[in-house]
Amino acid sequence: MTDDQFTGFVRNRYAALVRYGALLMADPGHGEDLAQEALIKTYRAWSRLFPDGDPEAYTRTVMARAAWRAGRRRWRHEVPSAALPELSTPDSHAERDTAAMVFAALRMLPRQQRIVLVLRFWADLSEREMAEMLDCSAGTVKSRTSRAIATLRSNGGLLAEALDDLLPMKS
Amino acid sequence: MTTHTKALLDEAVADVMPRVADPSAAIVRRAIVQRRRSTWAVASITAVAVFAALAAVKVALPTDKAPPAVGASPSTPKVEVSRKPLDVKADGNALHLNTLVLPLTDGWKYQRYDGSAVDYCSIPPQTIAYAVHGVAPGDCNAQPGVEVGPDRGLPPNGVPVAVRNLRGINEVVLPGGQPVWLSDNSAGDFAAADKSGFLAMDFNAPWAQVGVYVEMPPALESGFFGGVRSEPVAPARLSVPDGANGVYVVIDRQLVSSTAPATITEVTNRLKALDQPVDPSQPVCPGGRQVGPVWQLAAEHMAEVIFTGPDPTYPADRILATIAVSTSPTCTFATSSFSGRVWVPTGFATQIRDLVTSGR
Repeated sequence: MTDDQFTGFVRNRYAALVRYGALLMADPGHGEDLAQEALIKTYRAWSRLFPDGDPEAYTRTVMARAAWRAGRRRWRHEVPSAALPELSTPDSHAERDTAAMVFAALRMLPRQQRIVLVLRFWADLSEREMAEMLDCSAGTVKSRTSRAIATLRSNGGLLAEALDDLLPMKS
Repeated sequence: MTTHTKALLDEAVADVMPRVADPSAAIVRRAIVQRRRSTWAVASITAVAVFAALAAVKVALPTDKAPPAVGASPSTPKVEVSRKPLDVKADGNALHLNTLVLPLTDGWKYQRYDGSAVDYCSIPPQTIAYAVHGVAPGDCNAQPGVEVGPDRGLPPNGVPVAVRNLRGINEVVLPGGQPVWLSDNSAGDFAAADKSGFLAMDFNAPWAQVGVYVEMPPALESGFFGGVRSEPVAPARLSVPDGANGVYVVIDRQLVSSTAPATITEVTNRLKALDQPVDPSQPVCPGGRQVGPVWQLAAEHMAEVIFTGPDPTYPADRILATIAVSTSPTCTFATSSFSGRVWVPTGFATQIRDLVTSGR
């Protein structure tokens, strides 16, 4: 393995992976943590992923599975630090109404419902593809998606309005 | 429309920017930390197995009798090479590992794990852990912690000479007078931690037969390393084993060896004849390179004189003791892995190498 190849991959794809993580976690900061944790696994698997594999797909799968399972395990993915983190302050997302509302809506969803929603409507995956990625049954994916849509609609808001004309789900 | 939903999600993350522009170096570093932790766990388990076998052998370490003061040319301590069980005692603000002392202050605590290999992730942060059957890597991020166990990685621990690196030993003299020995990698880990934001390193205290693996952010380094010490030792000549059947010298990344009895005897006698003990209460070769916020190297890339001998528990030879000899042109001393530190003449390590080379 050469670190240069891995470094090049990270430099090229890191921002996109952080955005993906932000949606999965409904929080940009936790999304970045998720991306970094996944990239550590990607680094360790690099000899299998380069040049004949798909490191980005691998990383995204690791991220989705980690987010999916996070509630079943103690979340221990904070980077150790001797100093307390700064208190939460309004960021650029809060200043933008749409972004703030969307993240707020995502945060109100139970974790697994949020993840299937993101994979379905943002990553455009089918039920089967989501089931493979999350290592669960298609039935689980279907039920979580249905509940996510119901939850969003009951909560109201921009995402709920966007779902009003929802097309039948791919399968 | 699903496209409308996707557009909203896209808009939500459009301005999400990473806090770190290029995390690749830190990610590589953290991956290496995890890998090293895994390696440490395997090594610890192996060391426990070896240790258990060796513990059955009669144990006798260098004399308990206090050596005479500096300048009195104390006699050479008799060495019966053996292993003793790892004795761990928490005592107020300190943890005693045989005669190595680690600090238990500033939120640090000690925990012993007697069961099967303990999952790293289940060990609370800022714990000095002694896991009898090792620590399994776990699947979580690194956290401040210290793992202790029988020494490994540097002699005397039965590591075959052929597979060891040839870069020599880096020595730090602890408060109390005993040394810790670091590999080049471990000495460099402090500087790497300043960049990556997290330290992962290990060091060995062969005289206590203890290995220590440390993980922590740089901000905790001063508190921890500032409290690492040895129980006080008096000045002593080198402990050199008798009964060796081989002598190896590693110097300048080259290895020479001899199994000729006359050569082994000659090397042994030369080391035992060194009669100028270093005063452990005084700095040894001050001005050396700083490694981390507290430690300063007394010597770098020290030559090694390694004695091997029969292992009563295994049909192969093992390392009986190592004498580290500094090669500095201005400040030269030698330290035994079992105890004792003496001043040596400039060029002494080269003389021993030549002796071994000519006697092969």
